[in-house]
Amino acid sequence: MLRSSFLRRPISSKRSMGINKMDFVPLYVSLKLSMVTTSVLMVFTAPLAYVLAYSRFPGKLLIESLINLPMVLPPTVLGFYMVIIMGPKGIIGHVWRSVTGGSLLFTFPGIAFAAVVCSLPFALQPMKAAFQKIDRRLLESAYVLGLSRMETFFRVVIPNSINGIVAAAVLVFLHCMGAFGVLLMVGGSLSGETKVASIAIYEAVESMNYREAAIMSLCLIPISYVFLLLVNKLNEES
Amino acid sequence: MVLQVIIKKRLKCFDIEISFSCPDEQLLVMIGPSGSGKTTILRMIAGLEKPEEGQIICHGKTWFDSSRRIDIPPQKRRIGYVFQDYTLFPHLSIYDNVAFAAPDRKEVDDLLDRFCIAHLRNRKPHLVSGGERQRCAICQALARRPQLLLLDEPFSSLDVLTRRKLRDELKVLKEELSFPVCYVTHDIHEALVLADGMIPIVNGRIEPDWMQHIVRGGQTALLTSRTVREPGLALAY
Repeated sequence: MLRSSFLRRPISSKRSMGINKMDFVPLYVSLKLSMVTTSVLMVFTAPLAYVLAYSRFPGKLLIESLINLPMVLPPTVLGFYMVIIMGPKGIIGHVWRSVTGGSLLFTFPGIAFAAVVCSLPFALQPMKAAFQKIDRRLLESAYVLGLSRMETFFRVVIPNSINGIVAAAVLVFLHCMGAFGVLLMVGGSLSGETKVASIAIYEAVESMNYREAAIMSLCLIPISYVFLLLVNKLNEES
Repeated sequence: MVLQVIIKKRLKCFDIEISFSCPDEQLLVMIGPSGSGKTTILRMIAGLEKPEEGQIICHGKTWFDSSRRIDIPPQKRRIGYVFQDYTLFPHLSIYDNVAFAAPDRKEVDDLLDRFCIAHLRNRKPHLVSGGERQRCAICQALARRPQLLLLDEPFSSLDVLTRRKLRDELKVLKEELSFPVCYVTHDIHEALVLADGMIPIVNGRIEPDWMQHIVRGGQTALLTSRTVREPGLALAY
């Protein structure tokens, strides 16, 4: 909250491109959302990618296609179904209400959940590719040396696919920074809670406030560029 | 016999159907042309592949028995396995590779000294030569204190001189080991230098005639002279 109120403070210099009363809170919400989503996905996607990379089971292709569906669906379609399942009568919304007593829609945890679902394929694909690149004999070597599958995952698979994992984290982070449609449908535009940078830019343009839109957009470009550079460097190295 | 193997497995081109045993402190060579199922047999002994039928017993413990539905996972078989190509962990140093599954760190130092790679302890595997990598792989397998050592053409990717040197080192090492060793190769010279017993394998079955065919073909005079000189060099099937 302290940080939020600090960021709300208007920039008073009138010579600073007319950015007085500029609200940077949406940028802070975007960064917070990206970090939360990236952390959650890194923890949960790694075991999932490991299972999909090395296991064979009936229905694997169906599950994998379902996980990757957010990558190809229009954000409005995805947003619509997220609203349904996160609403008071939806399964996720119902569980959330029974645990916390509140609504999941139009809250930060709500947009975080939506961002996790939307970004899952962006985490899964590079991680799975990185795991599949590991020579299978390395895993077998670990097994005959007495390591369980779990130990092999942490002691062999993770250290040998660190580039893929970092690439996945960066892609998820960038995807969240630019997320718009689904977040707007699920979270609306509540300042300091669900109004992310992309929504703020959209609203600024709608209200003909091009200066604010330009400044906010300019803030996103260097962040995205630096992270993309990192992804390309990792890809080149691997 | 310390190691008893009776296995059957259907492959795409032929069926593996083999039975053999190996006494303690003996080096058993499985020899045969490439693609004859030698590596698959070794992998089944290690538990990395499952036979369709049969029994694998080592030191009195049943590792696999299809009739009793016993299939001990590779993690619990206490084997040392040296693969055909280098399978050292690339993110670890030579020391950490050897110490990877070693119960006693002091033994790691002894092994590194014994195999003359102590000076490379802090290097990553890609920064050492092929021969040094295979020495490290053997150290890694021995550091686990195995009950059985499986070597799958461990020197096949090395140049002739290094291969000969490592082969001689293995011959010396063999005398120090107190457990059986199964060695897969298609190199008859290597087999003759190392073997206490030999099983010729062609298309998944023991094929005694294959050895005679090799000899008759004049591919190695060494085989005949050695067999005559050392009649104890019996085929182990």
